[in-house]
Amino acid sequence: MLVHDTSRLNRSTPLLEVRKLRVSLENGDKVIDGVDLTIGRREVVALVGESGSGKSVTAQALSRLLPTALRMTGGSIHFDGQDIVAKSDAELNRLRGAEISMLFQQPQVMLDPTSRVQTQVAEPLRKHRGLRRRQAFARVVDLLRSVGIPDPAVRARAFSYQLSGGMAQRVMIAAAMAAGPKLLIADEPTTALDVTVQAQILRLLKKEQERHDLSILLITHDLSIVSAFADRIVVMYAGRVLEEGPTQEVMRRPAHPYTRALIRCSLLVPESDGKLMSIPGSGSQALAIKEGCRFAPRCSLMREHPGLSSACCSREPEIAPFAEHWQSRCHASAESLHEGDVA
Amino acid sequence: MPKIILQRVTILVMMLFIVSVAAFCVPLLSDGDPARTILLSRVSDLDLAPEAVEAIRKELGLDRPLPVQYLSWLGAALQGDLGYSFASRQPVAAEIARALGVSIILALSALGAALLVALPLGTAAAMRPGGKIDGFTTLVIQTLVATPEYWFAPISILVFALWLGILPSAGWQGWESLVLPAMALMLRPMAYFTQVTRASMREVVAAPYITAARARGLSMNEAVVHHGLRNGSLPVVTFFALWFAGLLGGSVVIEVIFAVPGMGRLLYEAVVNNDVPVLQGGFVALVGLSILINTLADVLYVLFNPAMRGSHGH
Repeated sequence: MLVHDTSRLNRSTPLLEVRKLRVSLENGDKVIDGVDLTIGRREVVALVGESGSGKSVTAQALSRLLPTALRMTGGSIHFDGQDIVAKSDAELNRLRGAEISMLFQQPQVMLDPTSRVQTQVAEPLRKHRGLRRRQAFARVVDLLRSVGIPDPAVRARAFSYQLSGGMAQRVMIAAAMAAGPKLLIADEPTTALDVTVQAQILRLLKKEQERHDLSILLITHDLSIVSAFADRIVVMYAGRVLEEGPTQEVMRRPAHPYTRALIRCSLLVPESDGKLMSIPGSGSQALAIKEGCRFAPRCSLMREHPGLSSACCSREPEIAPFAEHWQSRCHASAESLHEGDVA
Repeated sequence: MPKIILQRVTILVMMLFIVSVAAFCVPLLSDGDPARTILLSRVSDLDLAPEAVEAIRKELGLDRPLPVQYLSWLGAALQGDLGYSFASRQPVAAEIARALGVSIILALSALGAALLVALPLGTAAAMRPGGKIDGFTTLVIQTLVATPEYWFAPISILVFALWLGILPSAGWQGWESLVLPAMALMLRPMAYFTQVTRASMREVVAAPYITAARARGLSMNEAVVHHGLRNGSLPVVTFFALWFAGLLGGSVVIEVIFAVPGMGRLLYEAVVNNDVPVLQGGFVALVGLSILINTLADVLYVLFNPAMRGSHGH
């Protein structure tokens, strides 16, 4: 009975729970400032935002693979009942590639140019599953076949320069899935690929997710790929989460003006003046904003509702419930000033 | 065989031709008439009879047109006949072969030992930039680069040969006599190899494929050993070849100090004695070898780096 109870407990607790994550540069400047992130079992979450919003850094922090210039300075990360922050380097090595795998933006440069595909795809099998070289290489051919690589036995012996971008990303997926992870962190996995290949890779990821009961954190700046792919969407800006909620609802009726602007940009539909939508200004300065909402200088609501400006420029809004399972960090959405549908 | 290797070999043959022409011209550039020079080396009489000079000129075929002279010289050289040394009256080819053998052993021991120190040290320094090993390495590199061989060599003779008495001070008998000259020769290449390894490994340690390997669960050390070293040692291959070619004829000081009968000393003595055939033969041997070594390094580079095979082959 006890066994039953724990398994039920396991199913109800989320796979990944990040609380108040803070990451700083060596000089103390915050890059990630109190990010909360929850990923359920078999859930697909999209983490979106402009470049510089901190979404990639968040992903790197989750597997404790931050670049040397960055330090995790606060917060907690729990994965499958384990405290990731308390883990030693050796324990983290046993976790990466085994339970948490990663995909990256430019698959071709992520492969060692001097080492064959099979050597690299076999690494998680040899390291985490204790397979011998020969057994692992045999398994690699099956893995390559399962991610849709033609002539898998030939490609297993190929080098990265002999692979197209799409093929290289399939190889990376095979390596990521080799040891049967529970969470896949995919950092812009399709950004560097042709549009037609993008769709194939996303379909493949969806297939792997369903087949292996996988949770996926998809990091992207491209909202057009999110709605068909993710259950939930988390919008980041200047190291903070501005909005999070169910993908379909958020896409249809975004609570935060930043989310709304992002969606309108991704639609590529001309605005009333005939121009394509773009958000004025850039987000790169927003990290330096100490008072008020970090998006305020670029916010359209501020321009449309001058009455807001005193609140928005003096006091940073808390992230607050907007609807069920839906939160937004905006004074205006709390006062339901938002315009409604996007399109 | 990949196309790129074929290209390298073609270039090699063309360069060797140019070298042979240049070597042929060496005596022409030296002051004076070769016939007089040769006659002078045989007789000590400074008053040379013009008939005797003329006879030598005929005997040596120096009255023929230059291209004909070149072809006959080249034909002989290709058969290993580089003439006779003025000083020792021995065949130049045999003297060079003997000296080159000694220099190759000396250079390879020095460079091999240098690599054995430089690769681990440079890699360790690169893995923690600004760390203790990195600081120590920088200090060692700067000290070694600034240490002249002609200073280190006598000191090492003093310590190991005179005070401790465990190694011979000079000569060329057995491996013991190799140790001191190799040690003196390895210092500077060791410093440079360490520096090159450190620079290239620093780039490699930060490479995306290392991050990807870490994401598969490899420790930093495993990732660097399995995916970093081969990429990071590519520039070292080139530097090794350059130093090897350079040391073959360039270790004059060390070979003279330690009385090692290598190429450096042979050429040094040839210059002192104005021994034109030895200089000419030595020039061909050294330049030819250095081109050959660089070609070999290019081939090795291709074998180390699969992407190079792709860019020119298929």
